[in-house]
Amino acid sequence: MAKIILPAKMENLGKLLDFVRENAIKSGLSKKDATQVIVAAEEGIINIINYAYPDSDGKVSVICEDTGDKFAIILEDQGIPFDPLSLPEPDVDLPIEDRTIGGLGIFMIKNIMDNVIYEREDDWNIFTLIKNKH
Amino acid sequence: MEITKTKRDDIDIIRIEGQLDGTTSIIAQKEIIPLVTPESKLVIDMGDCDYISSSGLRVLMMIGKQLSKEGGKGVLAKLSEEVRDIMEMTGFSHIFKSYPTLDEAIEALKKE
Repeated sequence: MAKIILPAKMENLGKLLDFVRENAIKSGLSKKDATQVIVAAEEGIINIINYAYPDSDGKVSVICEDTGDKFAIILEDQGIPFDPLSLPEPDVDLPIEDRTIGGLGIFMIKNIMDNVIYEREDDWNIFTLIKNKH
Repeated sequence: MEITKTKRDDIDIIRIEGQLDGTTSIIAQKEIIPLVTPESKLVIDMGDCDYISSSGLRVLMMIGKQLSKEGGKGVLAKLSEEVRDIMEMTGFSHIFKSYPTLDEAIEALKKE
């Protein structure tokens, strides 16, 4: 298990994603899967940076875990309780005039990962993203 | 990420080099949106872009909406496998036509 904790700020996004990339590759994911997993991690981390701490500064922790047949990313914050999975899904078949700009991030996470779990424990949001190795 | 703009005949070619992610998409938006004028024709060359996040897709959607409002046309060229997978997953392959080479993209725009 590897863990990184940084202030939930946009300037740290690159560092957090480098950490995920490094661990995804180490776990043996294919280049294609690793790229997609980073896309999913970016969506989750940006949500925390943008919405978790509206009135204060806080931290985001990113944990990467290799369980042999799965690679898991666990995103944790102590911000306002928020279940990303509660958001409505966008209709991706609509023509451009009718498509809306929001809601894509969570849709991408759900499509990329094999399993996505949200938990609230004490004052923590815990968002677990799991990718099966093939 | 770097954006280079060139012109061939009346077609603007915008080359995106590097990653279109949460930090770089804002720059891409600022650089590309002003190019969308009535009847403009754009090719976005993504041959050297191997990563796109939802922020990048949002910028493409804004460009697409702006084009349809202004009566312009836009296509994508040279998508990498990684970017193409994400476009397909999110329905962007219906929004933008894409072509394997720059020449094919330009030809297609000329015919429209």
